[in-house]
Amino acid sequence: MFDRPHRLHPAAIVINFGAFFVQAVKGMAPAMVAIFATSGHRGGNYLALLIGGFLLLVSAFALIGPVLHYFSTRFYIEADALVINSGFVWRKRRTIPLARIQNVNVQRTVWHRILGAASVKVETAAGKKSEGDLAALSLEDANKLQTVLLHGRGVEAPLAGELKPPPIYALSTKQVFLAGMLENRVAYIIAGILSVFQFDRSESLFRPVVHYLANLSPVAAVLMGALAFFGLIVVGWLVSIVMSATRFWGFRIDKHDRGLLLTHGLITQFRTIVPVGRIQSVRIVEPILFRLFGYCEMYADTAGTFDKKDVAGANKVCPILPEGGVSQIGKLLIPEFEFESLWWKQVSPKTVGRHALRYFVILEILFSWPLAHWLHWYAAWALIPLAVYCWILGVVSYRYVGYSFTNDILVSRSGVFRKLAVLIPFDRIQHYSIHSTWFQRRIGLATVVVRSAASGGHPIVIGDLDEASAETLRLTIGESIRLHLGSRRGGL
Amino acid sequence: MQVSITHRTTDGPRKIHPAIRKVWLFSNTITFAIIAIITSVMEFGFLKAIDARWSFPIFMPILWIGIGIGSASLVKLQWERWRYEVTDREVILSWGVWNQTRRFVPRDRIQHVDITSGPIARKFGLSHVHLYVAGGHGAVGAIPGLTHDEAEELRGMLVETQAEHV
Repeated sequence: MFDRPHRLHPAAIVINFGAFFVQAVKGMAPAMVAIFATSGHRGGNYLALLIGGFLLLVSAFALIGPVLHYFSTRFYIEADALVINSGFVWRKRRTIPLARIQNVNVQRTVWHRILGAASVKVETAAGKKSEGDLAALSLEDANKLQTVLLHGRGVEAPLAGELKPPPIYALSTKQVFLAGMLENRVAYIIAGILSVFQFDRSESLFRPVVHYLANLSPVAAVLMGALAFFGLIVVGWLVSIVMSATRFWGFRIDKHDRGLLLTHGLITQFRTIVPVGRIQSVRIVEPILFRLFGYCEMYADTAGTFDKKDVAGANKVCPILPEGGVSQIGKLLIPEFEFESLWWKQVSPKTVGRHALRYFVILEILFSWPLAHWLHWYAAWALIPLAVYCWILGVVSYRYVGYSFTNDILVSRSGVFRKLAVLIPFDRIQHYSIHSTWFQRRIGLATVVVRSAASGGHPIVIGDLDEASAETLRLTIGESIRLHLGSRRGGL
Repeated sequence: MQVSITHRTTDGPRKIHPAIRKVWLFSNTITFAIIAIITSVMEFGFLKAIDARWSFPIFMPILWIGIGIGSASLVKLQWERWRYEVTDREVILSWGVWNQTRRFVPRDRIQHVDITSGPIARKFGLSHVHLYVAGGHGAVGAIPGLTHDEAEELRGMLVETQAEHV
């Protein structure tokens, strides 16, 4: 299987071209909208037509790239390594040893499905992008390659249509919609609106809005602000429901001999194998809305999935999980998983003041200008409720923040609105540190940071321990790592 | 497979070479001088552009000379705070004046070791040793100011751990 140089599926031409085209249109869209909306009577339509024509011309040239890419790309498996030859003018031969592969994703966009193809993305522990990206293979080849890359040769991919055992975990349609409702993508909408304004050179969209707002009374301005805010939230909601529904449609987790197989997606279909033996850390995230409904999200980080935008959410094991199900899924990811039955140690109570002060400074910077603008010196009174609010946040944070460990794992939790727990097995720890800032040392505090190979963005951070507990904790960590030295997992 | 071989260690924490103060002093001076020149030119351009009565830059040179003197006065403390220790199982690095860090790297997690020396450090016969672990976030620690012999010795100790675990 794949011993000889293989070509991509011809669909690769369409897919690569499509990807480029979508990027181009995405880049131009805000400018086009701004031009259409602002200067229709001033020949703006001609300008838009011109841009459209230019886009067509560029696309015609852009077609050359994907065609050359298709004819020049070959991949094969040689001496336990995946070799990808590519490039027409600048030739490139990439060799990825099978033993170094962390994860293989098979993805199908709507175009892949129309053309009967699938893309394969190979990840190693290096870099931020997928190291091997095969734009299109026939679906059968893609599934075979995924299995071969993760297993070694001589293993046949399970035949399609074979009787499937029931999934370990599956989302009902209701849960998929709930997941969408619980996460709000207002930020996307705001970014979209801002990018339109950015191209609004004549300011004919922007100026009337500012003018209108400036003439309002404070009460009306606040009302308008609230209305706009709720409007945005509703739109954000709709968008996130649609996005979540299309992405996580038919979400199910199956057992796979290499780990867990996640399948989901309505338009773009994802088939991700989470290689359980290579999981470095597990994260349990509870945004405030999720928590109110008793749900959470669960992430598993393998070395390399750090911030890989092109395999979006590949490390999200479950988009919505009832809190009672955490242990069930967790045990599948890390056999030593323990969460609900843990006994949590708190950090130093001095953290309350530090947290409160931090919130206070941030909020004051955010609100001082608008409040002072309307209320002048009376705004100083607002500092009192603000201080009380910040103190309460500090207390809430202090009561939740903590750490815990068993013989095998170290866990930390933190957060006020969005709660986050990070879990790293001791044999996955790469290094750990004790940090202390000048302010912390004044009051005898220190922060302990523990990193695995995957936790670049998500290390365990236990802030504001008193110095003695920090020292005890680091001795415990050192000792526990020593006890696990026999296992080879830490070295990846 | 608990390994019972005793590894070579540094027998307690070690300080880095005092000449590193001169290296830091030199390189800081050069860096701040370059920044001072660039920002002064920018200030000059800005003052010209707004047609200020006085276009000779004052603010930026003073600011960066101030920062330079400040950092120079910290160099001694910075050197005093640097310690490294290779124990049986771990490499322990500690550094920092305002923000202090003590970092523990289990020896068998070290993937590779680099020895580097820039032009200034080379003049003083010094090298830096960088430690790397898996995960691709760059070096987890760079021990500055070792003589070439010390650096070689340290590299030897760390690579020896590796060889046994492969």
